[in-house]
Amino acid sequence: MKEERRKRSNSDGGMHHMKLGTNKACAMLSAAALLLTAACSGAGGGSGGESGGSKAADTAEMSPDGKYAEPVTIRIGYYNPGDVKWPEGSNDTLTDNRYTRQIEEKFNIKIEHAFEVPQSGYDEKVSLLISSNDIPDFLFVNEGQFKILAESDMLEDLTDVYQSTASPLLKDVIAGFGPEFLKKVTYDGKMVGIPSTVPAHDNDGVVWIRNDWLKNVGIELAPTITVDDLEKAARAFITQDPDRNGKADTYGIQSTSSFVTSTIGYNSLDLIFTAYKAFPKIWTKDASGQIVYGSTLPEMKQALAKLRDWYASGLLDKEFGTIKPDQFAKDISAGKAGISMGYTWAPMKALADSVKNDKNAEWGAYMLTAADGKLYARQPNPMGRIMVVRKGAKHPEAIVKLINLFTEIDNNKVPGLYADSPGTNWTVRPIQGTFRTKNTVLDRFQRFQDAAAGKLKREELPLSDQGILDNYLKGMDVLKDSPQDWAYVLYQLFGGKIPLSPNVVEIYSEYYGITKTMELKWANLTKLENEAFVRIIVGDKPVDYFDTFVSEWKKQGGDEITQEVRKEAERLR
Amino acid sequence: MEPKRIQLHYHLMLLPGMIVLAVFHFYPMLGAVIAFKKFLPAKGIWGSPWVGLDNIKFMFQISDSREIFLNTITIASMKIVAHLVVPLLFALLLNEIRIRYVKRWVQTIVYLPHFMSWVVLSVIIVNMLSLRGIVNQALGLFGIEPILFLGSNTWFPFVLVGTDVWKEFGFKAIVYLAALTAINPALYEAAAIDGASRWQMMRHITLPGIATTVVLLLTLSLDNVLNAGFEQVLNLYNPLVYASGDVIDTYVYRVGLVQSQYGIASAVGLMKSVVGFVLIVLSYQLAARFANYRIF
Amino acid sequence: MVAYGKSWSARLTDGCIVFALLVVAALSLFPILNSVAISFSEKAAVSAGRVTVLPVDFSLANYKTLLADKQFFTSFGVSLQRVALGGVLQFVLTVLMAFPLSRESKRFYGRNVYMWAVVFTMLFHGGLIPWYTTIRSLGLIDTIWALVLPGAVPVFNVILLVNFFRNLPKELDEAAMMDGAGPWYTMVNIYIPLSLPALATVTLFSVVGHWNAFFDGLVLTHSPEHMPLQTYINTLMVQPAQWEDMDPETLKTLMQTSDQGLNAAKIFVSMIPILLIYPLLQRYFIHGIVLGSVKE
Repeated sequence: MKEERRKRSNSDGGMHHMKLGTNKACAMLSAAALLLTAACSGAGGGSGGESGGSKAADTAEMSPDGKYAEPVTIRIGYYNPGDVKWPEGSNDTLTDNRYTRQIEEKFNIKIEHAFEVPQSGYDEKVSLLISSNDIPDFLFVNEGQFKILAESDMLEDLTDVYQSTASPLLKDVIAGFGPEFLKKVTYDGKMVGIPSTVPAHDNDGVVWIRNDWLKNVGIELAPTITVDDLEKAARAFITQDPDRNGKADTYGIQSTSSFVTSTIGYNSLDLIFTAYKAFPKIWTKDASGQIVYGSTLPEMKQALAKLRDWYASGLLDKEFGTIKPDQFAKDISAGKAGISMGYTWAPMKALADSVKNDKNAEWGAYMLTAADGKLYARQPNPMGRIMVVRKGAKHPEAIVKLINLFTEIDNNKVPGLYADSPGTNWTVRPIQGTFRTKNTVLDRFQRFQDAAAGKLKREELPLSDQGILDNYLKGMDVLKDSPQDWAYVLYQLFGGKIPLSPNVVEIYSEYYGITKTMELKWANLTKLENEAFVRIIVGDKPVDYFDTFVSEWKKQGGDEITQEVRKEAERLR
Repeated sequence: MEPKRIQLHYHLMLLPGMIVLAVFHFYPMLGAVIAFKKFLPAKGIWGSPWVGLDNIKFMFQISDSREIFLNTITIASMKIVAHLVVPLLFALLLNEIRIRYVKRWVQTIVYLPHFMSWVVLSVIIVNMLSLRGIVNQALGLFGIEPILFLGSNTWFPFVLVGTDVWKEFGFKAIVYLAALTAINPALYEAAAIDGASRWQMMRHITLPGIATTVVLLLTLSLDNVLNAGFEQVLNLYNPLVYASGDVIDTYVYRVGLVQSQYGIASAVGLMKSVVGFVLIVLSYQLAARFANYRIF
Repeated sequence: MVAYGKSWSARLTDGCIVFALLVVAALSLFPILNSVAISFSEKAAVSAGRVTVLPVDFSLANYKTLLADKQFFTSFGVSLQRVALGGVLQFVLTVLMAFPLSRESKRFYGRNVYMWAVVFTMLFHGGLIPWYTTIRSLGLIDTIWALVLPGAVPVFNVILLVNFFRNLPKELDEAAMMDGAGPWYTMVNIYIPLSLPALATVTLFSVVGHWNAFFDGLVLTHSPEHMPLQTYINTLMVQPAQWEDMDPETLKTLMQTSDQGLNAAKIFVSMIPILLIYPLLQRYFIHGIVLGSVKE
């Protein structure tokens, strides 16, 4: 009898006990209810598909900071950056370091490398794995690979996961690049990738010139120069023996076989093109507002003509077309070249050795502007590599949590874990992508300028930057004893001044991706382009050959591709 | 014909090797059908759609295809000839020396460049051939104006062939050296007694003695008539010399950089294999018919 | 070789030949010395291009870094392992296959079929994806066997050895048969000892092939513990065609870590094992050891 009553009261929840009105049934039901709720909220990390208290479990797991109750292992593709410098005396490795330990502590996530290849073999490896349908659960891919994966439906839908687990900071960072940013990783209405970001102004071009040589040839240059100023300096460097060694062995302007890029390169000639308001290698709007390929616009002709003159008169190194890009610094280091056009961070690669070989070398950063006084700086694709999740992988939200953490580090919201060891590159992180805001680089330059001017206190700088400020205050001459430090200061505080100028105009390509026809025909068009330009410059072909090039380019697929790009740009708007 | 039981042993000896070949070569060969498909990773090889001869046609439809094919065949043919003559000459010369340690040291040294990769070597070569480099300095002694070898369409193919031969001749000579040692010394002794001169010995003993090896290596090298040396060209070329230096492999590589194209890469590989096969079969037939010699 | 008359013209020719060979050797030696010198030089001197054949500003920095690099030694060990395993396997299979294939087709029924099958594998390939998928489906990915098994039959070496075997006097076979020797006995006790130059050659090719291989290591191994040496070294140096399309971050880090001196040191150290075993094999094809002879 008693059992029957208990059964009935249990099966219809609370209703029956009211009818029966017994205290015992009431108490038992309440106790049962309490037990049930307690059990569910304590579970927290169970696979969210359990019945009953699963709502509580989901919230804990899916929250940006939530720690898993059970350890979760994620398998991610990885590249070995090579020559890693860990801090003195540490036993850190790529699989066990301050990052991995913090991640385990904070989220209870263990990281496994599905594969680990040297960095320059990474793309090939990923392409092969994609083609064999054998990708790991988590992977950074480039846009071309992303396209294949998305079209082959090999990716997990991350829309919900991103909504619930991405931190407000991450969402802000990504939103800061405009609505088309997320559209680029959305297929069929589903978000299938999380893009890493490339801040603006990291590729703004600087003309590095040896100030001691300028003094020796009696030329004074303002920080902002024109093409004519550059020509004057180059001519003087060739004819007036700036290194004072009695031999005519110094160069004017040098370049490499990669002499024109979509932003800037090492010793590339890009700044000359933008000084004529020509924008090669990107998609830009012509006079009528239609999207066209920058390399086909008439402004290119003026730039090419000027370069052609320079080549003919010896101002431009006669063997520029044969120099390999990674060998660009040879004459700079040997003290035979005094002009180098390149990145704000070029000193790290190029100029440090020149100072090591010759303590008298003085380098200055100059801004090359167009006739209207502006530097038209083409910006790189804001989208870096894209983090994707294999369809069917478990715990897709785990990767978002990791990205949250690194976004905080990247934006200086929490101190970097290796701030005390500047030689330890960011590439040793488990997540080998950065998520910085559009203006991160610019802000950093600004902070240095402010600190140098006394407007900002040393302690307000991020820990890793304080050392650089200290070096700057030591004075450049003293700093030359440790050339790498000298180079870093030159980069941040001198090169960094250029992007901060109000005369810098950000130029973005109207389209950064790959269209259908591009897949097969772009390689040919690029060959046509590079060959045509170099031939005009070295005098093989007349300047008017440019027009032939444009019509050939259009015929061999350029028109088709232009139509496709216009359509795509519309779609992403 | 040998008795059946001995034949059985021959089959047994071949068995393990043939199994390896079957698993790792013949079976994957079926996958060559990728050449006729548009490869989609999610569908795998068998599920991807057929595109017939489109991939093969692609190579012939690009505007530069004539130039690219011509470059490839020219450079590859020059290499085949050079790779035959130079190592042979070297091996013959080395064979004439009797000072042991000179022989061994020279042979070891010329073998070493084989180990250097083109990535490293190209830096050295660019330096040597630059306008202020050693080669142009030497030319200057004869009053010749500096030549930009790596920027000249006239010189670039020769640079490719020359540096490749220089890199590989020591390695390729080894086969000839081994063949030379296999010649019975008694033949030389008998000829010396008969008063034969050095040249006569070369003509009548040495060359015939290694003839089969030379013919074999020549035939096998025909397989490379469309292989101009991808890694080397990639590391040494630049837009100035596309006209003479852009070859099939570098072109396909650049297409693949934009977007992976396994179908096209496979089609190109197939085309190369077919051409190589045809040439080798032709040589075999020629030798069989006219010299009554079976190369294989 | 043979002692023929030491006339002055013969000595002059000898001298010319030696001189020519020494010049050639010097040319081959130059880039090697250059790389070694770079590895022992100060970084600033290297980037200024001041190093030719002797170190400038002698420095052991590169070697110190090298010794601290655990991955280098792990990969070194993997390569040693693959040479040992793969080399032995290749040697055994090469001999096992070359011997029956060297029999004439009238003695060994079906020999031509096998031969052409082998030649076919040298010419035709299924391509990267089918090859990779096959190896993966056998569960070999990321094991030493992935580096050893797929190439276990080096067809070029097999064909080479067949050629050498065919050049041995037929009387050997007849003599063996008359003594009642079976094919295994003939192969092991007659053919092998008489083919030492050829065997040394194919062994050398085998060892060098395994030691230098880098592409299969890149594609078939996932974890650093299984990565062979050249894969590790080779991908430290950036291919030129990648510069154009690289995203800025990757480009920046690659430029900062690529170091000519360190790479030179790694290459030099990786050449040492080959240089050590090379003389052991060299004496077979330089001087040849022909044991016994045939009585006419």
